[in-house]
Amino acid sequence: MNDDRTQMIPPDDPNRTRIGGMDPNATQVPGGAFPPDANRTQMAGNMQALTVECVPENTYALCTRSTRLHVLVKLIGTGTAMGARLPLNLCLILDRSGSMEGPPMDYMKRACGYVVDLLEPNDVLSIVAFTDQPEVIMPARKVVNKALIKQHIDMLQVGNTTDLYGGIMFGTNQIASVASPGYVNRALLFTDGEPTAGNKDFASIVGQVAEQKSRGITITALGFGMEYNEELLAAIAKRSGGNYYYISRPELIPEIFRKELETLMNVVARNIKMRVHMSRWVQVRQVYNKLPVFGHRSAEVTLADLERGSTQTAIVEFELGARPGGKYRVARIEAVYDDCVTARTESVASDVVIEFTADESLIASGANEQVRREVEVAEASRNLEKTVMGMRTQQISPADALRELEKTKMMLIEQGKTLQAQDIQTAIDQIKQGGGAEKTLMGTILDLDRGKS
Amino acid sequence: MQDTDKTIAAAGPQPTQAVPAPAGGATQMAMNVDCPVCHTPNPPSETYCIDCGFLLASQPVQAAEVELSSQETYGKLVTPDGTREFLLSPGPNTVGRENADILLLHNTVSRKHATVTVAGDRAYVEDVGSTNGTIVAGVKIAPGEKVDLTDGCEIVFGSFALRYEAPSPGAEGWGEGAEPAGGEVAPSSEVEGLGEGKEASEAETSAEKPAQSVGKLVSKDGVYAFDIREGTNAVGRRAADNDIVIPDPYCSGRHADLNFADGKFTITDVGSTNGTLVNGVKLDPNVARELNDGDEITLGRTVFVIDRSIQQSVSDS
Repeated sequence: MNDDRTQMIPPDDPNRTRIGGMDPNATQVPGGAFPPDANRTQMAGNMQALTVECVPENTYALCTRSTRLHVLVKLIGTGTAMGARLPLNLCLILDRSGSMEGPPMDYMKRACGYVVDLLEPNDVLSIVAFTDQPEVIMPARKVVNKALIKQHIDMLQVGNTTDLYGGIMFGTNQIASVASPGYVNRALLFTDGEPTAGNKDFASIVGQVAEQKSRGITITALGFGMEYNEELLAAIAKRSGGNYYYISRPELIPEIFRKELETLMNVVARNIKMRVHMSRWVQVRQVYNKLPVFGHRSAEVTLADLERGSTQTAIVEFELGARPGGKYRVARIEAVYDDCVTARTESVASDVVIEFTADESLIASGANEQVRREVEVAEASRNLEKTVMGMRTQQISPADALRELEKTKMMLIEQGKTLQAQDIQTAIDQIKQGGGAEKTLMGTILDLDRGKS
Repeated sequence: MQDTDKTIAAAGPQPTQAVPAPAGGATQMAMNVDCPVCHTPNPPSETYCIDCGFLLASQPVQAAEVELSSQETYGKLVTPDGTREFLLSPGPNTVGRENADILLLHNTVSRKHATVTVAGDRAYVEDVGSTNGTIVAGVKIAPGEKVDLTDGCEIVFGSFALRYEAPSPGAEGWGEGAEPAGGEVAPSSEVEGLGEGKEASEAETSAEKPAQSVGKLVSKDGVYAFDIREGTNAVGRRAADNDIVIPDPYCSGRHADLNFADGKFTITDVGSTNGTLVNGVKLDPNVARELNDGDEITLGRTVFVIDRSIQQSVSDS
């Protein structure tokens, strides 16, 4: 494992991340619009799980009138110097409704067995199953006796209906019962159907998920088969900052569980909030595919958990007012997150510095194509969303949907987003075979929204 | 207001009358560094101005035509909590959830929801066929109907509420009180190079006024001397709205009215951000104060006296 990445950065390199703990400039200015330390990424501590990089669409902006400018924000999970991970506080929330009868149930049990095998004695596991009602199969406890836990899992029987809401409530309560900041909290919600018992209301389910997120509990949604509600599961994952998987065949269940658990074990930063601190004469117009909460000269969005070595991007569109020419820090972008190594809340930040000029030729020279392309990708996600909605409501024909998808696929290939392009190809094949592609595309949309790679 | 974190006093003894030169050695000084653009005092440790973000070690470049006042001349839409502002441009401003000038990412707002049009000194809103409608001052507007906006009125797009703030004189404007000054400020005619229709009419009205000077408003440093005419002289930073235009960034767009009638000078603050002071005492807004010979008037950071010597010669001719 490449765990010394952070050490390879010379601490004196002014353009890179540096340790901010002993920074003499780090005095908070009363009333200042910015958190301490004006110019670079920093963090208080010796290691860092996250770095922030801001790439403006153009390093120049017109000073004579107000202009719009996109800034690509990259959050990079740099890994940890020690290679250690925080223990997991995991809950498996399992659907045992009637439709799970047969191979799905068998594969689900096998998948849970793999999870148990992968966990270590410091990890905490709980298991909740739901049908007409939810029930705790195993309360939260350390994974010491693996054989005993597997026996509990083997005793699961299929029932009738699906009380998804109840399952989420019971599962997250198990996680909350081990209230310790030293764990990575996560629920894996596995279901194959629409909620048919208990609270079935889409908005209250998603609202409950958001509530749990604010308690530091993330839910990954795993949808199996053709009957589940992909819109609901994608919304759960989105609101929660967790992942969404579509599992088409029962034999794929164990593989997806294993994949999610590995992802989880590599989480280096969670509860990530990106705060945009704006200077005077600057407004945030939008943060692509996110809904910011606006404050006094600030905008904040919640981002998904980040794994070691992975990158997640956000695109902020600013409106910059006219001003005398010169160099300005138009915004400072800060990420506040729970570090999964130090078990503390940390923060890193980076400045967006733009030179304002009246010289149009400079503006032409300062354009960054990469940012332009990322904006196109973010817009593609919206187009996909429209296509999916059109397909669900049958307002667009399969032929039109295929045409749209081909177009999006070509664009993604051009931008080097091969994984998402493959997803779209899968969706195209599904439609050509007369099936629905919404379940696949929901995952693609979520991926594109998050800018994960 | 939105600039609660600003620490600008109108006539405080700030060490900045001279051109600030915070380059190089400034960081070693334990003194605050005033931003050359917005004049906010900055702790010496800051690289960028804590308010406007300007790189403190550099000097601003004043472009020939910075349309600074464009931001405040046409009004704006503000969220009820004041955290977001949408500045209006002349002509139609589209409102909606997608590719709109006023982009409202809210699920009750249609992709193409409404248009706010600024025409001359009037602003009106039209619903362009939104799903959830547009409400102005509590009344839902009919499709195709043009409803005029009044200062402070509430407009609800779907369920997203915004308040309209008209570009009224004396209103707290965009960057009010700390307008970028760029060291030597360009002549006001250059700075305010916009708003054709409006400016033309302003020009006409000022041309109609009697050109007789009854005195001069002279800055104590001798840099400025403005003619005062009989009747009311509007004083402020914004060229389009004032008879006497003071290029001081601490002066409000519309700052005060200076009046001459019956041989007496009076001054009235019209609700400026940093206030009007006579002999160092701040005036209550909208209360006229008579000026005696030699009184010192502080507008923004500039101190003036009234030179009455020409009064006699003007009336003789």
